[in-house]
Amino acid sequence: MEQFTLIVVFLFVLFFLLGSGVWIAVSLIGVATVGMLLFTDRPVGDAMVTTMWGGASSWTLTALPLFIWMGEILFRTKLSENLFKGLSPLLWRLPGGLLHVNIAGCTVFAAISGSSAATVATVGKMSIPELKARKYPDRMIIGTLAGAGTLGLLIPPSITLIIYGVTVNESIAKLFIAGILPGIMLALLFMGYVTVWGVITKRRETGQSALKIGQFKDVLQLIPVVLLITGVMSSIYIGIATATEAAVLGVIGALILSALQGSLNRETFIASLLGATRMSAMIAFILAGSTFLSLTMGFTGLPRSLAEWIAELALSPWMLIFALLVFYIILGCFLDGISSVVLTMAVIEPLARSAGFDMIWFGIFLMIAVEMAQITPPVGFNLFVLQDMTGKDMAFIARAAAPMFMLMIVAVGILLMFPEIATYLPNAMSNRPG
Amino acid sequence: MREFFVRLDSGLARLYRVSGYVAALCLIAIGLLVAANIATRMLSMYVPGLTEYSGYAMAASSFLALAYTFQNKGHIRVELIISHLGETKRWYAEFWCLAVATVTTVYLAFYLVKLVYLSWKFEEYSEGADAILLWKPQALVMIGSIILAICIIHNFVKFLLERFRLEV
Repeated sequence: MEQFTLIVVFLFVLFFLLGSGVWIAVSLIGVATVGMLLFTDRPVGDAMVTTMWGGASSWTLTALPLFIWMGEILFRTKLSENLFKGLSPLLWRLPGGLLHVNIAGCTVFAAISGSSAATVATVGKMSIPELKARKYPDRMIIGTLAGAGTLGLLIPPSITLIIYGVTVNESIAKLFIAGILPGIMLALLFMGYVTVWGVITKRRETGQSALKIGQFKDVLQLIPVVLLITGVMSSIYIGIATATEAAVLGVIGALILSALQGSLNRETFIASLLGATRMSAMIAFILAGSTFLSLTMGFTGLPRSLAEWIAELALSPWMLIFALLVFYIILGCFLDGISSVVLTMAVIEPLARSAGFDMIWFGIFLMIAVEMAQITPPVGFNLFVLQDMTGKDMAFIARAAAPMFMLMIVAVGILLMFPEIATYLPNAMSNRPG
Repeated sequence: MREFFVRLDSGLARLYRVSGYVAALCLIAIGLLVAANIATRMLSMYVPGLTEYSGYAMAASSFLALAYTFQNKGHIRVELIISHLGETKRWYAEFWCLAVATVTTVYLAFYLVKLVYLSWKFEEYSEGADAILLWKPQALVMIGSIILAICIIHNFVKFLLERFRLEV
C-alpha cells in the first residue's frame, strides 16, 4: 500500500509539472529527481549526471542532428515549389484530380523532413491556394493534408523513429527500413479514398487547367531529390552505411543539391545549421531528462507491476494494441509525438516486450498511434498548423481529418493481420548492428 | 547602475548566442567525424576513437545550445492549460515555471560541475578506443549547463523586474 501511495504521488508530480507548463525537459528532470528521493536512498544528483552523460554522448544519437540538418537544408531549397509543379502532371488524370498531389507531395516531403507539422505547412503553402482556385471542397483539401502530413513519422528518415530506436535500443537502420512499406501503404489508402471520392462525385481535372500548374519538364526537377532519398535509404538497406553515416551522406547530398539549384548561400547555410542546432538541442535535452526518468522508473517498480498486471489480464494482442492506441491518442491531447514516445517508453517497453511484440513492428505501430493523436482534437499539432493556414475553425478541420483518422485505424488493423508489412524488409537486411 | 544592467543584459544575450554558434560548430564536427569514419573505412584504415569523438561532439552540441535555444523559445512545453489563464493567473503560472526551471537547471549544473571535478581529480579515462581524459569532453557539457542556468536566472530576474515596473 505504501508503494501504491508513492506511485500516486510520483505520477501526480509528473502530470502537475507537465500540465502547469514547465518546459518538458525540465519537468522530466524534476519528476525523476522527486522519484529518486521517494524510492531510493541513492545519491540522486550523481546518478542523474552519470546517466545523462552516458545518454547524451551516445554515438547512435548522432544520426539525429544530422538528419534534422539535412531536412533544414532541403527545406530552404525550391523543393516545395517544384513538388507541386512536378507531381501534378503525373497525377491529375486520376479521379479526384489534384488532391492526389497533396498526398504524394506529403509523402515525398516526409522523406526529406522528419517533422509532420513542417510537412503539412510546406506542402499546404503551395497546394492550398492552387486547389482552392480550382474549387476543390475545403473539406477534402484540409482532410488530405492533415492525413498525409502524418506520413512524416513513418517514412524515413523520421526523427521520432530515431528517438524511439535510441530509447528502446533497437537498430535505427532497421526501423527506418521497416517504416517504408507501412508508409507507402498508408499513402495508398489515402489515395484510394480520394479516388473513390473522385469517382462518386465525378470530380476530374481537365488537362488544360492542370497543366497550367506544371509541365512534364517540371517532373524532371524532382529527380535529384528522389535520387538523394533513395540513395540514402539504399545505403542503409544494402548495409554499406549505418543510419548516422547515411545521414552524413544525406547532408552532403542536400548541400550539393541546394548548391546546384542556386539556393545555397552563406545565409541559408547558417540558417539551416542554426535551425538544426536548436531543434536537436531541444530534443536532446528532453532525451537527457527521459534517460534519467527511465532510471527512476526502474526503481519505482511501476513498469514491472504494469507489465505483470497486463499479463494477468491475458489480453489478446488486438485488445492490447487497441488499449495502447486509445492511451496514446489521449496522451497526444497534451503532448507532441516525441514527448509522448520518450515519456512512456520506460513503462511501455517492458510491457510490449513481455507481450511478445517485435519491437521493430511495435515502433511502426507507435508512430501511427502517435500520429493519429496529432490529428485528433482538442490538441493536434497538425490541426493547429492547418488552422493557422486556412483560418477554418478547429471543429471543421477535425471533421475533415476524420476519414483519414479512420483509414489510419484500418492501417493498424492491416499491420496486425500482416505484420510482415513492417518486418519483412528489415528482416531481409543483412544482420548488422547499428 | 541602470547603464550597468543594460550592458549586462546585452552581454548575456551575446553569451547565449556565442555558445549557440559553438554548438553549431560542434554539429559540423559531428558531420566531419562521421565522414572521416566512412573515408578511413573505405581506405581500410583504422583511426581509433572516431565514434567516441562524434559522441562527445553530440553531447557538447546539445548542451552548449541549450541557453541559445531557450532564448529563441525553442524548448517545448504544454501550453494547453496556461494559455487559457487570465493575466494574473498566467503570471503566477510563469513564475512557477521559471522557479522550477531555475532550481532544476542550477541543480543540474552543480552536479555536472561535481562530475567534471571528480573525473579530473581521479583522472578518469574513457573506456572507448579514444582513451582520453573524460573531464575534457564533460567540461563542454558542464559549461553548457552553467550557461543554461545563468540564462534561466537572467530570464527569471527580468520577469520579476518587469512586474515591479523596475524596467531595465
